[in-house]
Amino acid sequence: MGLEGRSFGTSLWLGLKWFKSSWSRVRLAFAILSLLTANFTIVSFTLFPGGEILPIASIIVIMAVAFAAIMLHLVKLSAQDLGLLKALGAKRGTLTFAVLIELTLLGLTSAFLGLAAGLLTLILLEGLTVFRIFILQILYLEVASAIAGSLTGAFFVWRYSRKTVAEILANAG
Amino acid sequence: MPVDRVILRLEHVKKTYNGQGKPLKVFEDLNLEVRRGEFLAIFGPTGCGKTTLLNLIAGFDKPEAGKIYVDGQEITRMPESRLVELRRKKLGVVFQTNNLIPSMTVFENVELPLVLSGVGRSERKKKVEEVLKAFWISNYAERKVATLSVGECRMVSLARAMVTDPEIVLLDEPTDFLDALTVDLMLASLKGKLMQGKTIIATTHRGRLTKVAERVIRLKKRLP
Repeated sequence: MGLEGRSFGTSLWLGLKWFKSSWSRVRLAFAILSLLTANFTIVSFTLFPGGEILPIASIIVIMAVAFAAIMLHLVKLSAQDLGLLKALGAKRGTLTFAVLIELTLLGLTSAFLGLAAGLLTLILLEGLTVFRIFILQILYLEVASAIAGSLTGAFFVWRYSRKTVAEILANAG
Repeated sequence: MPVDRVILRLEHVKKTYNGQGKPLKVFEDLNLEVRRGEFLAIFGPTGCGKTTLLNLIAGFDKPEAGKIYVDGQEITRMPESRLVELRRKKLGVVFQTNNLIPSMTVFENVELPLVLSGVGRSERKKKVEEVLKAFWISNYAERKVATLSVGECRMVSLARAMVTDPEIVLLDEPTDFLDALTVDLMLASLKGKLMQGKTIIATTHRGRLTKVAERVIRLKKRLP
């Protein structure tokens, strides 16, 4: 990928800029991911308070797939921007890393917001007893789902940006 | 023509698209030389291959056969990483449509090529302000491009293409969809101080741009 310091700075600039400025594009994704995480938190705590691994693992897989699907959708929405940036002289590595930064920030923010919302709902329903169960594990798993989703989106960008600028812009319509 | 005066050369270029089941030949044996500092207009009807020609020159697309030289460097077999460097240093491009990133401001859009080239923040600011002023769009700097008219967007695109001070400027239908006043402004920009000494290659299907160009080549549409 050849990410020298300059390219990393460029990716960071782009990733943060996308995350900050494309609010209209990501706000729905924020809401969906946060809701998903909140549901996941509630389901995990209420159905499996003992921490049974198998059912939790299946929920995690579903959650990771949902995160990945949303991230992939977001990346496809920004295909036009990717083609344009490539035309302006962006390298594949720079684009991939910028998208990874944007999606990771989106995923983590949504995961934390969702976790907070889920916990708040449980505390209102059950009281503070929920903190005695495996909150850290839930947190790790939610972060892992968010990162898995971001990596899926970034991988798509890595493969997609192999195309010529003309192909990307034509496909993006 | 002496080699050092030629900045762009296309030799026996062939390009075909897969159109609805059968191949659509756009160019079969295209040869073209462009002099350094020349203003060339490529004139022809919609669908005759003007945009394809610009895409090939910029390295956005690859020909099936033939060679394309940009400032003496053969780009058709050039690795992507070197092509990226060449684009950054030598080329400024204005696309016909979907030119700008709508969620960013005018300033940020114009700043993009400099960010991608690794130029520092203070130098970026100075260069962007300079180019915005040259194209009479300083007042729009902080506006989101989604709020601009087509003509304003086109001027922003031109400013972005010029911010890196490229040797070759490629313009795809720069006067399309513009009202008469904005066309005047665009044509005046192309003759402005920042464009002096630049090699300009512009496509058009209207007559006005051909009147300000030094040379016009005409492309004909192939019948299917």
